[in-house]
Amino acid sequence: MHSGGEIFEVDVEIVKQSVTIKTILEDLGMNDEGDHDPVPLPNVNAAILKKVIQWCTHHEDDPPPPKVYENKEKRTDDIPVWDQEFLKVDQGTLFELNLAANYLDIKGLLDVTCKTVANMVNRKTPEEIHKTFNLKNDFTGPGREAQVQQENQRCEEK
Amino acid sequence: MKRGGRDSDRNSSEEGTAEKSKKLRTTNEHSQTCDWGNLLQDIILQVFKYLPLLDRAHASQVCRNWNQVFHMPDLWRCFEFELNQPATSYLKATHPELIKQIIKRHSNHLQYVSFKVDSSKESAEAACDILSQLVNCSLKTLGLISTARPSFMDLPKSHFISALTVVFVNSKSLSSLKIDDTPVDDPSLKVLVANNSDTLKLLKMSSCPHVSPAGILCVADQCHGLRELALNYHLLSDELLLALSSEKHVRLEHLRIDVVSENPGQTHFHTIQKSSWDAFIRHSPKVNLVMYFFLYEEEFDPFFRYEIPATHLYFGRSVSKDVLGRVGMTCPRLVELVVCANGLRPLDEELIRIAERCKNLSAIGLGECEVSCSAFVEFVKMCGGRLSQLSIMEEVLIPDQKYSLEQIHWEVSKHLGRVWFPDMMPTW
Repeated sequence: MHSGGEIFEVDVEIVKQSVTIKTILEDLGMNDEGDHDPVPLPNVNAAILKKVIQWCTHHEDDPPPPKVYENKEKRTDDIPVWDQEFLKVDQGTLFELNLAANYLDIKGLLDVTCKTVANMVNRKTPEEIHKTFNLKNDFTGPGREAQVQQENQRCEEK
Repeated sequence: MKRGGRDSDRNSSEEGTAEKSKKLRTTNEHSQTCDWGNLLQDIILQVFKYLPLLDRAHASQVCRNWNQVFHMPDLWRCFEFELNQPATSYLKATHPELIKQIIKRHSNHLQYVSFKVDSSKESAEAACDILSQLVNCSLKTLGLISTARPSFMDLPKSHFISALTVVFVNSKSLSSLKIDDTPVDDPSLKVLVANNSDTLKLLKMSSCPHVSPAGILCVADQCHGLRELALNYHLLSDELLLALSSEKHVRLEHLRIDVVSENPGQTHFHTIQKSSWDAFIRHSPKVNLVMYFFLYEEEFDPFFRYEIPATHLYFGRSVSKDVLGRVGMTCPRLVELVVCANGLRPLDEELIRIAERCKNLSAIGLGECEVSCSAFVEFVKMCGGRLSQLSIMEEVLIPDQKYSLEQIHWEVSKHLGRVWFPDMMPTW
């Protein structure tokens, strides 16, 4: 018996954008069967999966991404307009989409969510980053914070 | 996409559409708490990869988790050390404390490293200092870039060589090496080859006066994966071209040769046999052969006497009408031609011949030259739309009976298939 959660039925081509799901299907020999038990996704709730499927459906016919060389600088100003609109969500949803993209191993979605988060961090002081993400400063001891600030200073341009 | 309840509908199996969709079951738990601080390190790492160093440093200050990610090896693979003396340069420099930290904590993570130094001896010395400490590094790329001379050439040769050798010996997987304008020598090239012959793909060493033809030949003989090479003409030899064309050698993609004379008449330029070039082009039919000439007019005698496979030619100093005529006759593979200066006689015939015989020409730049407007229009008409770059200084074009300066841009635009104007300022 199902222990809860919702079941989504999705086109196989769309679902295979998730390397995680694709691997499960292959490992369990579910590729060819007409019917099977639903693939469990314990880390993803219905609302988020719905968004993920929406993204994957829109990107179904995307060409494979070009090879990225390790030593090339990465840009954040090239998020497609559709994705930008898609990611105009509250922080909680962005957070969960980021996690889901990682867990489901959907590279394109992980890239745009990370770029979006990077754009929220960029050009901010530590204090501003704290505020934006509601972060707790958990450096213990008075010395540690000073050491980290010193590290920070070294990265400043001379 | 369909959404079902506990007993999901089956697709009709007669149509075989069941194979076309799969079922996924989500968790029934509520949303996860939005705790950016404790986000998975792998994800924070991906985010940090999109941040420049300073912003990453700021982000590393916000909490312990993010600070740990800041120091993960993947973020320290590439680094460019900028070394400039404040007294002589307005360019920024990497903070010395940061350099210390990188050497202490991240030197064994570095893979793609470059040094950008100004012209001073002090900056070059600082670069060597860092190089000698990269003992635990397994570099794939090393670039030594000086924004102006003399820089590395001012250093005692042994000091430079011992620093460079540290990297050669420890890396063992160098793929790309840029050491133009440095005092590298034959023995150090032997060390490079002894340790990195399987991996070396790119070697740029223009203006390295201490290397001999035998030294570079050793590289070509052993490094069979070499695809890109840049050197001065004095290092080029028949043996080198043949070594690069041996069966064991991969196809070369890019060969750049700088032909430089320091004083008029002082340098004698040896000749390369046509058969060597023929073997070279047979082995690597798609290679780009780029030649930069900084010669005085009378020094061009040994060049362009027979067909050579040059694709890109740059004449940095004044080049005679006669030589440009010979270029048209001997360089059928020519793709790009740049002439900074010429005498005061019009290059009409020479340009037309180039249009006729260099069917791959797609870029041309003319500086202090003279071409009559009619000849120029004829040239463009013959080349047509394949000219993607046409950079001609306005002073080059001499109005004649057929065309004035105002008319020329219309005619040329017509034949090019796009709007064109001559240049007002030098663009290169």
